[in-house]
Amino acid sequence: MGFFRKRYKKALLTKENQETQESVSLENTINQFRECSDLVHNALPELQVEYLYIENLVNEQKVKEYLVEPFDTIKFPDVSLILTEKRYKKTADSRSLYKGILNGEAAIFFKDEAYLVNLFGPETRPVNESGTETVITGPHESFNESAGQNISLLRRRIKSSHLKVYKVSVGKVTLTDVYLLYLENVANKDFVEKVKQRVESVETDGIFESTMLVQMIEENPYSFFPQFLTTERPDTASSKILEGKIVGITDGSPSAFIAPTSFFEFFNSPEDYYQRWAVATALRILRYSAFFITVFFTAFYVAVITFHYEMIPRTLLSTLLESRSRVPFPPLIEALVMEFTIELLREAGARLPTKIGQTIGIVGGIVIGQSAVQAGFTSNILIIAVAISAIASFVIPNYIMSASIRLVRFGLIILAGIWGNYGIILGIGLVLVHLSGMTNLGSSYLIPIAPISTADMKDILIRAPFSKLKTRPYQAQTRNPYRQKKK
Amino acid sequence: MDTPKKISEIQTAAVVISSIIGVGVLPLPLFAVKAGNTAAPIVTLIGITISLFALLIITKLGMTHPTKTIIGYSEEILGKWLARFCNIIVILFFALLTGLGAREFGAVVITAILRETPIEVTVIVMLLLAAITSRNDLNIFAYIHTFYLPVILSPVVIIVVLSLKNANFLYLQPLLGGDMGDMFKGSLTIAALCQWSFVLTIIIPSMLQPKRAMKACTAGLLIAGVILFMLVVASLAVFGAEETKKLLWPTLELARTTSLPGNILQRLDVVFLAVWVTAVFTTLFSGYTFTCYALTGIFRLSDHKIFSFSLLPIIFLFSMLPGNLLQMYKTIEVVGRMGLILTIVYPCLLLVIDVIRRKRGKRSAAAKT
Repeated sequence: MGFFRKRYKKALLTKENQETQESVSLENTINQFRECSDLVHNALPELQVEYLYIENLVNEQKVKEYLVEPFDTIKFPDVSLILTEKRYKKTADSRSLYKGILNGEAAIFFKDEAYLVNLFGPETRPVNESGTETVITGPHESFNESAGQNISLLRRRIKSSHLKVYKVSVGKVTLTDVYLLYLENVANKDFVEKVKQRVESVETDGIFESTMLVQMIEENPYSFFPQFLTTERPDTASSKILEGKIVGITDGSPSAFIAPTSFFEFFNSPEDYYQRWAVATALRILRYSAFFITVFFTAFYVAVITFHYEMIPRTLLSTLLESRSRVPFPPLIEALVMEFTIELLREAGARLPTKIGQTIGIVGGIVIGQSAVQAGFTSNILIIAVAISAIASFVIPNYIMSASIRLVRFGLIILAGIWGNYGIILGIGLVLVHLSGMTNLGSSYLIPIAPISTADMKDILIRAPFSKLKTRPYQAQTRNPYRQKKK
Repeated sequence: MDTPKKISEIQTAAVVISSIIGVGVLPLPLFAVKAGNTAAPIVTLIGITISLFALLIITKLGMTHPTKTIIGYSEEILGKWLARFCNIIVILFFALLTGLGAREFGAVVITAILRETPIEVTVIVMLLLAAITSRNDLNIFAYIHTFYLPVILSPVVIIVVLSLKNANFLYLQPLLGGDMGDMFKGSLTIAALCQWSFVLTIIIPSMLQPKRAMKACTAGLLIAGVILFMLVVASLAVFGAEETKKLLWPTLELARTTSLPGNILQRLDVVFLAVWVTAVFTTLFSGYTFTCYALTGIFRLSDHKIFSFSLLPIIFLFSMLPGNLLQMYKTIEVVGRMGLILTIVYPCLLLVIDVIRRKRGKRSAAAKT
């Protein structure tokens, strides 16, 4: 069945591609854009010039400068002279003509010929502070939805002619521009080729976000875990470019993706480099412990309460039993209900407008927290466990990774409820095996732990002083592994 | 079997260590003490030396044939059919060893943690995990071992260090003692616990630099040996020879007597057991992978994945052979010691024949010219 469906799909796609190759003419173009009320059609009869553009894609200033003023002052014989200017590109192919119009260019028809001039300049959002990756010290700029602006943010940071910006159009209908940025003299050629080729071979009608594109080009699409780091911060992106990685920017998306990425990079924040090394190292350790707490804490609670009472210190045991004694459910159910509630609160908080968001805080904090215990619904130690692991999950700087980890945690809690500690270890075993098997552009996902690379550990597990960070990460397999001169 | 040659020396050492440290850690002090009373540390040392010797032979063989696994070079040395016969016995032995390992694991789990779970379930779950994991290639095999290494080493070290509080070093004396024959037999049993490192015979061809295998293996075995030795010394020093003999799993009891400073957890044995599950997993994973890859080599197949699940029922059957715990340990001791013939004598023979043939080859080549 799948085979036939594929074939059918292919037939459809080729049909779409075979849009009749028409000759370049005004009538055909107008016909192509019929019922598009935003198409502006102007004629200058004395010059025998007609032009078309889409109103909402162009900048008024540019229209004036390139279209209105040049043709305003001249006489008929000068038209062909003006059209030889470089910004007017002669186009003989109807498809690229249509594409040009859709990209915010104006099509100028003179005699039998068509010219395109770029007037693109829609409204963009100003550069704002990042909503998801905030820092206290360090630059506050973040990417926005305009790819041009994003590239300018990066170009301003890396003033090197080696920084290449390779453009690919993705999506059969949306024709979204994706830009791949890398340092030509540093980045690994194979990786660059791989990313280019994968982005080019994406078959879909449209993409709107880098995080969406990333899922189409990664090697393990069925995995729970994100495989390419995405960031909204130009400083992070440019530091990754310097490391010899490839940064992809999608037009219309405020996030850039970074390839290749290792699992541990998701736990680094740009602020680690703006803080002093000792503080940054402590923060990294804090984040990794937060990761362990998120993954294990509730599961461990369930395992201990269900199977391994003997592990609890004697003094704690009495308080725990007292608070558990009024709870009618087994620990597994109790924990799942609480975790579910926390997830509800989180999702509600994320979707609600900020003004109502405070209500959620009050409802969550007081009603669910305190009343649930008083009503004998859960034990207060479980509430502590669930709350701590929820807080810890937000310490992980990357939102996509923290969401994946929260999901994995549910599996572990269930396993812990069935087989106790043994279940937790089995679950972790499965996750680890899965992670070890994952590749990222052909390199391991768990670098620098497996395979061991001590040079990278200095910059991933801890943050050594800058004088010690002399090499680029091993995972990027750069052509020039030294950042600083070897002494 | 076209795995990229990427396994580094550190990874090879990690494979050796985490393959050796496994199910056997729990009853190890018992085996040692039963054989040599207070001379248990010496018994352990002899056992480790024997397995070091075996490992060196395997490594030597692997290094002289750096592109082939044991399946490949044994056929070259012994001839196709004889080698196949021997290799099939080796494979059967490893399937049996993996099965018994899983069974021993199951026995510990149902006695110490999950008392109401049927042993079949724990055994099957463990074997399933090993089977799923063995579908990956050797490179990932090495990654997993490297990743788990600190998890395996740290708790053993912590428990040994913490148990020093209760140690009485008088229990270690006299250093020598006991019957020589028993001691030798005991050290063979201990050497048998280390024979999981035989998995090296399929790892060496996938190493980045097979020439450095010798250093990696020696380092790996020495680290594992030190760990095992420390465990035996610690349990002997804490319990004494007579008490240790009465304990089924002295290492577990050792974990039970220790507690973390600061009263964070009342008892450590449950945590220790949980970590021990990891150690068992890596060990069984080694055995399973060896069986899969060796079978693939014998049948000249390109993909080992078909064996990862088809082996499961056979290995499960093997694991259900012993009737009860005591029978199981008897079987393990006997099978382990018999296995030494396969993991030590067989490679020895291969090496000797190989050396002789090479010399002859050279001589005949010299005679021709």
